[in-house]
Amino acid sequence: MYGAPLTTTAEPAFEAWSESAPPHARGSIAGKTPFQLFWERFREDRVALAALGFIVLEIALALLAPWIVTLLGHPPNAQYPETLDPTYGTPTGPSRDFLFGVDTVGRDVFARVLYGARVSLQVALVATALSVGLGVVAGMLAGFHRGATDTVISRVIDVTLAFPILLLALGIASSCSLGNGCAGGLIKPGLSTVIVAIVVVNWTYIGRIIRGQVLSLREKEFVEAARAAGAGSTTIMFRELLPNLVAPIVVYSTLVIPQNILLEAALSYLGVGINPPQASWGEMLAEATPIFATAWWFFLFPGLALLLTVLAFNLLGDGIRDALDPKAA
Amino acid sequence: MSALTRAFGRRRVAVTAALLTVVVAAVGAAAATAGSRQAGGTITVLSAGDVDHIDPGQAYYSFTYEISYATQRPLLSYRPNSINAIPDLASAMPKYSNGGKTVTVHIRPGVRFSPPVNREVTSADVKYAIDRAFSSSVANGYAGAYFGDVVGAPMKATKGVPDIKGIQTPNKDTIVFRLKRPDGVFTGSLGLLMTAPVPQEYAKRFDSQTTSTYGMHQVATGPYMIKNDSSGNINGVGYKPGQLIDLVRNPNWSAKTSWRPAHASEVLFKEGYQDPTVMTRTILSGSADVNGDSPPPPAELRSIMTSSSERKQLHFTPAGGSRYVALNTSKAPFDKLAVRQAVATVLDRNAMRLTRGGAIDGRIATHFLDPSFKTQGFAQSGGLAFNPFPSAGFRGSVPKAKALMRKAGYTNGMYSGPQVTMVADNSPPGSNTAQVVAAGLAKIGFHVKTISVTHSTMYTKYCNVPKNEPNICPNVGWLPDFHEPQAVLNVTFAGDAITPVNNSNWPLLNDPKINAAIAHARTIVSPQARWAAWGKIDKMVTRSAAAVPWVWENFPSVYSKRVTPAPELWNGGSPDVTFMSVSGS
Repeated sequence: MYGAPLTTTAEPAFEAWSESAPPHARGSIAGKTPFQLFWERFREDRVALAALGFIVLEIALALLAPWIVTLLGHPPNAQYPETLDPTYGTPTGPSRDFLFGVDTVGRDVFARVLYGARVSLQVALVATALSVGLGVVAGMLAGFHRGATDTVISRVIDVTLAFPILLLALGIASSCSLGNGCAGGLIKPGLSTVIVAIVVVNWTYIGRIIRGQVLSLREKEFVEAARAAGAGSTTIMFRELLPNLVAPIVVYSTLVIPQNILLEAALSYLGVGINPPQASWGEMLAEATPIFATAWWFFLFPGLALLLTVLAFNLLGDGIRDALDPKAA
Repeated sequence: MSALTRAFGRRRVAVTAALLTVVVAAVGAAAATAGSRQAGGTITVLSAGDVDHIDPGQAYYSFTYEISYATQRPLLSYRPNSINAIPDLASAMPKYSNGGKTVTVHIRPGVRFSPPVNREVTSADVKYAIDRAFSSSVANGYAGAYFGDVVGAPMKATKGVPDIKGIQTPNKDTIVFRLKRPDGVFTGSLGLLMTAPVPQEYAKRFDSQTTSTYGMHQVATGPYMIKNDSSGNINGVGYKPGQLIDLVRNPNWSAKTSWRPAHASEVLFKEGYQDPTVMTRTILSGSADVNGDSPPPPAELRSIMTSSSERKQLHFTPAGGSRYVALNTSKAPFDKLAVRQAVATVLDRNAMRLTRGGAIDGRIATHFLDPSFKTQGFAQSGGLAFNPFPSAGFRGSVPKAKALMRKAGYTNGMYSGPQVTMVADNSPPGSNTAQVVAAGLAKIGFHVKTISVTHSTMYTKYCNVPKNEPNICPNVGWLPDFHEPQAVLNVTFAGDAITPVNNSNWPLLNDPKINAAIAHARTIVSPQARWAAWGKIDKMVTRSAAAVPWVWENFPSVYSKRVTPAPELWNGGSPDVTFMSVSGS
């Protein structure tokens, strides 16, 4: 059997042991990357796969939104006053022309839900990436250097965590939502304000988690080895420690995405988020709430979109965590 | 001169012409049976917000008048369903002499202040009430606008209460006003709450403070008083700001001196009903009796109108004012007439009206004097036919607007300058109206930057303050203080009415020809000539396109089944609690 690939080798003595293992895992003791291991576990999780499929579909729809609305002929901000009841000005429900009905100014709810997905996904990805990036760097610095650096960063985290998140975000968003924004025009009203507000309140959790991980990792032998080999602090942090933090970062990110989507929706619902006439699910829900009893479609569709998206990201996050860390499952 | 925004403080909505006739008739019939109702019971009025000022010397908002007209007696006031002021504290209508420059009013004997003052009212109490409105501790926002022509009236608020020489009290039941120039509409000013008597010997210790606290210790002359303690304090007793105003009977009020029936024994104003749907449903279910400051939203109107039982509880008051989009004429690009006219031509007024409830909201406005002025200026300006910026179905005309833009120097008919600013409401329906305006402007190339704030911030921080004023204020509107064209067009469009704060000339219009016409019309005493002059001014202002009127709004109210409706026609349909009665009490 000399020269045959390792994976086909099966010692009879091990037969009994591997009976219960799935066929593809048979003999797969060596030669797998962490990603392969992850993927093998993940693809068994049908719920997480469905969630992933939904998210991929949603991203595709959001990217294609401009073409889709061109096909339908109703741009998201175009107003069709003739679709409103001429006596009361109330919106009309789903029809052949307007699949999800129209809103209070006669705009196509379908087109706006579609464009709302763009806002939600942008916030989900950009705000999460920024807050995770900030949290990881701060957590690594605190955990690696300890001492005064740790004290300062940890206290800042403690103070930030002590704030009621929504109120803090509301404060930031409303002070930056007027005129030319805040911080000398750096933070413009609208999407960037929302993202900044979310990053400011959300980087702390990941910061704490990473700090804890680094505190234990920095005592490991491979760090000592790297240091003995002459590596500097930055090299050790980003070359040696960071790869070992991928699992918590990925897990945490997928779990924080739905939180961020909800936070954006909450801010827009409270009127300090996205600027009109740009569509956002939160803002649509805010406008739909008072007329819920008579215009259910205006409330239902953005609500459903928000619910499904958040659910999908949560399920995906759970699936990823289970696959990365079977012990926790 | 200054005027507070007796602008639409709250969402007000409304109705089609056909509908109106029916309901107004119904209100009339109901009011006719009021006399047979028994006395007693408690009326509950619901409101979203509080009064603007509890002191009658400062009060301005429609909602505040609901309360203060029940507790205070100005020289003149109004019956329900009427736009004509009649003597209240006065014993007869004012008499003009000296070529319209002297106005004499006699007051009724036997009217007494509520506890703890208890004494009879004299003409000196009326003079003190008007004098104190000019002091900095009271700082009434409209005293200058309506009493500024009285001889000796201070140009700006004085420290301490002034003694205005032009207001004399030759005896205890006579008050004489001497005016610098004839003033045809001075009678209208005498229905304002600042003419309600204030006892000097009692009020002066409150008025001598930096900000007068008389409001919290006010005494009443009307059939009701805000519940107070033995010292006269109402704060925390009958007035809990933002929560409750409790009106009880004024023991010193005599039915013999008043035409108000005042059936109920108590009136509660419950505040904080922010959601108009909840407010409407609470009233329809009988847990409260009438809406005080917010009308039922369109979706509720629709549901009420389609229910045969609830339909009887809905009442409409026809237009008493207009909503408009103000264009800032003091800076580019709206300093150019043709650009403003292009905006007036392109805006889809039909779509704008749909944001407030479609045809039920009222008639689409084409100028500023509304149809309630009939032959008092409305007909003189051309009536319904006067529409200088016509378009099919009021939907706006892009080709005509582009032609005007070319006239203004924009070669392809599209605006090409820097983006324009707009300050708009951050909640529906105002926010929706603003979005329709922005979409209309985009059709002729304007890129609009919108700042969204609350309705009151829109006024107090931006549109009322010329130095902060954006290019466009899309959510402004005006209810006249009394039924005269001057009250519609003067403080809103005269150049000399522009003030650094509390400004109501939102377009900052300062057109020499219009200013001259207004200055002349203000002095005309003969009604016919006056109305003709103001009709002409209405035309001039409309053609200037400094503001684009879009709806003459009607006001819906919901009443519970147990009360008789009594809408104040002059006051945007606000309920007159002194005429409502409670059955089964």
